[in-house]
Amino acid sequence: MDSLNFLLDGFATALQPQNLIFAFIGCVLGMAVGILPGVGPIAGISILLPMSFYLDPTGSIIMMAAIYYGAMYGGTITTVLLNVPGEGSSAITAIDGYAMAKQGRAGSALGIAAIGSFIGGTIATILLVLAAPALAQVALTFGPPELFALLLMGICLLVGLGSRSVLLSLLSGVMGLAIVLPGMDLFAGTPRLTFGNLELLSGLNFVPIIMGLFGMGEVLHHAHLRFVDTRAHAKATAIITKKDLKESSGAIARGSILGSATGLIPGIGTVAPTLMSYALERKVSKHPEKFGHGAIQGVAGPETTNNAYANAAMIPLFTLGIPASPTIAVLMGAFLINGLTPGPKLFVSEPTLVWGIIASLFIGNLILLIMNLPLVKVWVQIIKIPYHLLFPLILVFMVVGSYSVSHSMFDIGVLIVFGILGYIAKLVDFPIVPVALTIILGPMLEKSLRQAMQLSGGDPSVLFRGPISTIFIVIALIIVSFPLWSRILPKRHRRLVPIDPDSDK
Amino acid sequence: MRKRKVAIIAGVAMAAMLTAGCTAADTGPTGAPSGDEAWTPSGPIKLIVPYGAGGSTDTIGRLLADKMEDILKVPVVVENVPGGVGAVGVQQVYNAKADGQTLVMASGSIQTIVPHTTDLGYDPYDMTFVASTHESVAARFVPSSKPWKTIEELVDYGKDPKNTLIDVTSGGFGLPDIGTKLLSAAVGGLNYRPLATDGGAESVLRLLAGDADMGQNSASTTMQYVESGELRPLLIESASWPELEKLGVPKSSDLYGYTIVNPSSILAPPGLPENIRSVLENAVKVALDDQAVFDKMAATHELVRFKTGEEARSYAKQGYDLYGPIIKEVLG
Repeated sequence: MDSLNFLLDGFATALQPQNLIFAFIGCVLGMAVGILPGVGPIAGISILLPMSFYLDPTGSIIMMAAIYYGAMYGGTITTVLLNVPGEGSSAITAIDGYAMAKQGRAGSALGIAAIGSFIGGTIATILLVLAAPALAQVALTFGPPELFALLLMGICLLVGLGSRSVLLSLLSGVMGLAIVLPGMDLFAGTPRLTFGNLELLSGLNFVPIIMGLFGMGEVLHHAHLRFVDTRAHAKATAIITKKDLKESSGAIARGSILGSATGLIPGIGTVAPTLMSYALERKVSKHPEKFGHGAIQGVAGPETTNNAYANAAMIPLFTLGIPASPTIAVLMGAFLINGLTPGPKLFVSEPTLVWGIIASLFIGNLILLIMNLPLVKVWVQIIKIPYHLLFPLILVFMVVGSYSVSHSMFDIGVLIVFGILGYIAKLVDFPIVPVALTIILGPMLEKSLRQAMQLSGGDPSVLFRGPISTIFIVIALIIVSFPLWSRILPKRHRRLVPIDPDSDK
Repeated sequence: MRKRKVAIIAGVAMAAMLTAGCTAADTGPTGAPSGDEAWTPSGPIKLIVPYGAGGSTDTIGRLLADKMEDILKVPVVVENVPGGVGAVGVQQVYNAKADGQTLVMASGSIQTIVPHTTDLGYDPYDMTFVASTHESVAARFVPSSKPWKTIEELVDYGKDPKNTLIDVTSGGFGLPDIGTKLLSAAVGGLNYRPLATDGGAESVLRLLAGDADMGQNSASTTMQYVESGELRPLLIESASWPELEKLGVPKSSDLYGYTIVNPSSILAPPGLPENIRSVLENAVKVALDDQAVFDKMAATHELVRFKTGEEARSYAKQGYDLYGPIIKEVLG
């Protein structure tokens, strides 16, 4: 009951005109950085960091938090319309979102993403109000063995994704792993496979790789085909229907839970939960063959998940003072320079501020929904721009976006190289989705496994040290052995038909 | 008034976003450094932070840039160049023109550790040291769920060959690893193995969860747990840490004869003329003399204090010389 009273006070704070304006500005800026490829919420928030010097802490933190979850939505727009993921957390949405756009259902895809984001964000925030202290303990029990087991389960779910052949998928996945090998070894502190190149010391940035493989590869391929897709133009403004909503309701519910749960896990990042959501939706779907061909669940699930994650990730920050992701770490910087140390004590010492920010999460999510549903009609106009004008614009955006990740020409080179690879992959129908997946999951898998082994001194039984990790590993084993079961039960074979995102051409 | 302020902020924020992608182009050619005594910057100054946004070095850099704009009357633009664990940003400044328009905010390890582990292709000590704004505090913590109440009890446990301590580190081969090596050497050998993490926040988590037995950490993520009693500080390993000293935590320099040096320095390209360097050095000093700026910086829990370029250089070199032999021994 106490929480609810505090929350009401929080709404009184968050609804003050200037705080409302800050939430609104934050949402708009967040959308902007989400749309601009490469400029993510981290850059957006840190550019504004000195401004909290001049503003009152509540207002500035409300604005920065709004940038964070606003960017989660903004990233969807370019992903769906142009196949250019503005944000890592929207990369998986590209598969079905862009397929929907090509079918003239861009309006539906963006609409369901807005609604899913709103529901996911709101549910995660309700969790924050009701159960934050209890949930914070989850962050502590989730050590390296548990994270490894979860990722292992995730990667098993994803096997066979986006390809006509499981073997090609595996090959593609292994190539992704090879791409992320170079860099400073986290454990030895020495360069690994960098060949004396300083740029490689931090490893390759995944933003230019993903933009190259998906976005630039697509643009080059269209140019090659002199491809003019008139279908998309004709029905581009189709808006969301009751049928869309009905089909997505399950995906939105599961995405809300998945995003809220993964938000509690430190170190998992924004991208992995969206991949898991996509894989989950495909597994539970009665029509897995539709995935890759514009299945609305493939948009609704991941988009709900990433907003639920963004809001739930505030829980470890508020309750433990632990930033669960790099963006949250930047947000924590905003607390610190205002003389506030995030953590349980803050609820007691600054209740107005903490509950004001929590209330603003509700308001911000609502602002995003109200702003975006009408805006969908504006956004979809983008695909009406003729390709000969649109494609050069996209290329410019991608180059600027790649450069702005770390202000380095090297990343532009990476973009171009992977753009050409993406183009060749299109020509020979080689699956690129698994490359993207292992680029994101590979380093996390490596780190958590090596950490688990360090913990136990090399004893693999540490992976079964508690119920959490044991359950995940058992599920992973069941998934991997599934083909065996399908031989025994032939009627279930249909579920294993691999998908091919591009076969509708 | 409020409304206008908000509108201005919104405008500035929009502009900042739009230029975020092209700040690098802002610092155009600015003419050769003149021999005049009273040097003034001829255009925007670029302050590179060679790490991603959001860390304490980044935060202090942004607060500093904001104040230096008032002092030098030119824009001071912070640019994050996070490649190569800090090496790429420093390299950019190493290769830049020595005209005072390009600076880098290098924190400890890139000056003291990375030159030993990695062939950088340049020597950071060839660069011009402009000043230093802060250094990081460090102390050894154990979770309060573990039995050790003093550093002596921890050392006694770790010296027993039957036991193995798990030492949580911030990844790579960094100051936490070096601190443990130095402690181990001082007491005649500890039995421990490292648990590498991505950094301070994750390493605190592993301590709180009881996965790790001990770890060296800095202040921003630990102070609240010291206050709540969940983390027990046993040994201050940096030159000082005022809050912990008040609690009576002993210093490694007194007990074991070693100190962890982790300074941040503002560096300029090699051969920056002294008349330019001194103007910049003075601007940093004036910025840190401003109590409001100082307080905001100190809120990051770093040990903020002004050092001249010469002091910054010799202090960083002290760490470089101390850590070299240890790293050589580990890497073989």
